[in-house]
Amino acid sequence: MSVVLREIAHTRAGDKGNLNTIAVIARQERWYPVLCAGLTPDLVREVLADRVRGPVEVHRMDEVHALIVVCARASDDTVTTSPHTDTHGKTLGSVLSAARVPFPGKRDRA
Amino acid sequence: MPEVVRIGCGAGFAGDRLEPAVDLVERGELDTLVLECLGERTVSLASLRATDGSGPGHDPLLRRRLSLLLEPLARKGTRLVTNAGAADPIGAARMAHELALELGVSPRIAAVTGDDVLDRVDRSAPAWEDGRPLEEHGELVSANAYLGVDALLPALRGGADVVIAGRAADPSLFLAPLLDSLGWDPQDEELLAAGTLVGHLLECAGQVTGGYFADPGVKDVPDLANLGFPLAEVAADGTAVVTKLPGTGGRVDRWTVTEQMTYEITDPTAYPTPDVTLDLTGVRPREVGPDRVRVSGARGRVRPERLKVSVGYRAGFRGEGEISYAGPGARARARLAGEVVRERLRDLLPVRVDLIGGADDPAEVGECRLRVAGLGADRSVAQAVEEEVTALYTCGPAGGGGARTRASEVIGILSTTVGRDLVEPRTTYVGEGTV
Repeated sequence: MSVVLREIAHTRAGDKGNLNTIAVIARQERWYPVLCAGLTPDLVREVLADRVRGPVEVHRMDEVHALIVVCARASDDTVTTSPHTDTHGKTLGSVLSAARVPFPGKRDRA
Repeated sequence: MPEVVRIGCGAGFAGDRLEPAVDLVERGELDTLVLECLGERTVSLASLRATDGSGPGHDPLLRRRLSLLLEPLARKGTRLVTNAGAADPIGAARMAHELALELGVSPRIAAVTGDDVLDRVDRSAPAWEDGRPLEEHGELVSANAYLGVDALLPALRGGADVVIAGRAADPSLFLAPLLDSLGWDPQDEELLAAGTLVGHLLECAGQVTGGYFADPGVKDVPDLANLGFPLAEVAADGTAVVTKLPGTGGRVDRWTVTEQMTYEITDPTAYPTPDVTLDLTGVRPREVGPDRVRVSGARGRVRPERLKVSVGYRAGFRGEGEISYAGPGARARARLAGEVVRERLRDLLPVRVDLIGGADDPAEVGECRLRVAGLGADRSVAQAVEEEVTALYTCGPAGGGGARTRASEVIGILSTTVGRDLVEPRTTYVGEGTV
């Protein structure tokens, strides 16, 4: 009774300073409530544990069935100072798309 | 006043492709072409180039872009607005003037300055990133305020055909020509919001037409290699249709537009620009034809009292090195190599070790690339990372090949704000004096 995020949503990551923003957009309107219920700050922190170091906020955009996830990285993990290969953190949207979120139904989706 | 204005985006970052902008000018019947060429770090790097004489203070690609664009812009009667002046808009405008003479065209060229606030930023102010005073991070090398439409409009109203700014907010590069061409009231927050939404959707160029989107089998994009760049048809009431030229690759639909609308947004009810506080939560993109998406519903509130400032500081030197291992046990050998480098550098600096590719099962035949990176206080520390990775050739695990290393200075970027009263935008017409 869970689903891989990528099955039900698009993701797009961007960055500002040491913040990453990840838009998670439901591929069907009926899956938006699944996102709202399942994509919690704790889940985001767990899936992106390699980078996320501070608070995680989730904002709703009901008109376009999207959540805006804002994650703070370490203060020295910025586009120029980061030791990571992807200094922007642009790959984090794809990393997050592998998260499993609870999905109402009888069995797990692939 | 026209009822609809066509505005295009020919570059979404400093390294963007050159030819889509030319196609937009030739076939787009544009009022204005915008080239957005500054990331958060770009002005700081440009300041350093100008300071140490290693290159121009403006975007180094600007000359190539203009050499392709100035003649068609003049022939089609399309204006150009860009932030590619970076740390030296006046130098960029002079370069553009000389280039125009060579090309036999005579656009009115304006430079917009005033974003440089290095001499007046409060160095004891806390950085947004970590709350520590700016000056504690290192020597400050640049501080640039994000200028808005009030800085850009005088040049447009003064009849400039080419407007070259430095640090201006990306959406303002679009909003200013819309205000000018559509005769919008600069106090009308609903129209400021509508134009800012257009700017936000177009500012990353190909990211709204199918770039940064393709995921084979999940989200397919036709002819990505020939991605068309976007234009918007903006009506006097602020509604806009985002589209691209016929025959170009990519796609414009509610999915690509929604992804770009939600890109780099923190609070969707309050996206601050120098011009307005934009609320995106009422916007719903609607497909109104092939590769045509209409947007409306942006709401605006009063603009922020202070201007955001990007501050560059000397953050040290990064040393990086990579080396490959392959075949059975590749990952274990790469891991051992990383441990060796970490131990050798133990007293100098902490390093990050990445093992890229390969499998932990020793029977799996694959390739694993070790990457080591660290930030040191001076160049010699960064070079030690290079030396230790290179030494793995003969002193490390079996079969390491293809080592590549690099050491380079790092300019860190911090954010703060400055009072609007400390920022004095100026418009300079090249060859015509200052207004």
